[in-house]
Amino acid sequence: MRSLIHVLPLFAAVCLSVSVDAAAQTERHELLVGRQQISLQAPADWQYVRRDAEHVFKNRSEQVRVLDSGPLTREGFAREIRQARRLFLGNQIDESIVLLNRLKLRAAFPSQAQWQAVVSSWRRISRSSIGSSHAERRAVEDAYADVLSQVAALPTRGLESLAIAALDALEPTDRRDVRMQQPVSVDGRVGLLVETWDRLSHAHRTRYLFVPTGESLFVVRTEFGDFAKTGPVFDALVASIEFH
Amino acid sequence: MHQSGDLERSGPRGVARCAWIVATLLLASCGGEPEFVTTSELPIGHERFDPASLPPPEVFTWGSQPISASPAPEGWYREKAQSGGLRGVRFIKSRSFGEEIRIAEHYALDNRSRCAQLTALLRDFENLDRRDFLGALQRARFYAPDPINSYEERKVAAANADLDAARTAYLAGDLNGARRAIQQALRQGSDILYRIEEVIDRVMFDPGSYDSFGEVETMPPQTGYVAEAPSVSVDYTLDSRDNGHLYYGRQVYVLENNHLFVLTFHGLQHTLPLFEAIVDSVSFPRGQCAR
Repeated sequence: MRSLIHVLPLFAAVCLSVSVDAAAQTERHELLVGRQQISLQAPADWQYVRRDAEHVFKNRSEQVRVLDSGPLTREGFAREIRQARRLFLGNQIDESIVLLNRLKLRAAFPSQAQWQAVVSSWRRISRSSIGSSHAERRAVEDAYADVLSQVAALPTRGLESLAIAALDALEPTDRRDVRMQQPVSVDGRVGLLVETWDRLSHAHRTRYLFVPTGESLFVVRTEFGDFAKTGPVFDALVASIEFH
Repeated sequence: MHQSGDLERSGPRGVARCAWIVATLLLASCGGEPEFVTTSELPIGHERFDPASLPPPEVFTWGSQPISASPAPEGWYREKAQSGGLRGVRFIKSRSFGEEIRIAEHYALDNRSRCAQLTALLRDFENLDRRDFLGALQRARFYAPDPINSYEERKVAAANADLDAARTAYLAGDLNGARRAIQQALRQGSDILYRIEEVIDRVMFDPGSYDSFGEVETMPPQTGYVAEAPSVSVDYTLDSRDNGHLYYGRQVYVLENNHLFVLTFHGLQHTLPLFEAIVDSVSFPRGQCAR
């Protein structure tokens, strides 16, 4: 009996150290997110899944996603529109339209009047079709030039404005409220931490990190599952991020 | 009067219910100073719930008037509540016999206000083109086919006349005149004021809705205040024939800044003090359309 009393604390200490080790075990991942190479550490018991251009860390029904917002600055828009024009000139009309339809251009224009000035040219290039006459093709090329000149005149947007634009594409705006937002430093870069929740119930808390990476934003977000589980993993992922 | 119109529409049951509410409210207010009874002084729910055990208050903004309240503590899960003309949140006790606390707003009153639309219209005035301006102006028109009181009827007519004037001025190129007319419509709208007895019948507890669950006994409504806003509350018991439990219910109706909030409890007697603590935690932060 006495020996059992001596052994029990030792057994408990071993169990505790094993469980602490299991919790502390992490795995480093090298990821290409948009055009940004990064690395981060994820808990070893969270499975890594690549979904097209997105990176998902999941554990049962809990999920945290790492992704690129797509172009949000005027330089990013201009690069994509020039690429769409190249496709159009190469008769890859459908591909050019797919590329244009991905752009969240409307929100980048600060006023309705400025958007109205470009909207007819935008519609012309984003609805162009195969088999157009020479005159119609000429009109589309002029429209591309008009859109590019209007995009070049767009004002520079701050991080908050870019983050809101990215958020609008990720969540329906009419169902959520921003619970809080605060600037953070991630591997020496300034980012924005944003939390949203359901407007009616304040359930479905979702945490986002937005960090500018040139023409787009690097995004980390909690997704499905219990926020009490996804929140700490989100924080651990963000704390371990290194931009290369 | 709107009230009599409602009575005609709602039939004998509605007449009885409305008469009951009006009679009780009159009784409460006659004979000099009205004797208001606060919800915490009501006869059931004798124990007190330690308010320090409640989570910190959250500000819910469902319309133009926010409401702040502590949510139910751990052991209750939450869902959005959208039914019966109400929108809000409901807290359901886990592993219980259907105990629920609900905080919601009767959104039809919020929809009658055009403050948010007119404020947005004035804010975006410079950035709207003609088509969008006229569309926003149309959406900002007041709509009250069944005026709650005669004052609302007059003010709605006057505000819509101002919006007509804004349209005419805008089409004539008089942007300053259009802006002034919209500001005048906003002032007309903010003059509209409802009293709780004029709007409460829209949400008042209907014992008939529980007929199929058991025997309902309803106490007379009590007037009072929640966060300094006028309120009415109704207590009831439901002797459930499904599981043999005696349920206690309380519905508290609060009118703040022309917005009607409904706080409801349905559960076992020992949980009622928690609901009372949640009601005590309510406050009304200043919204964009505060008077």
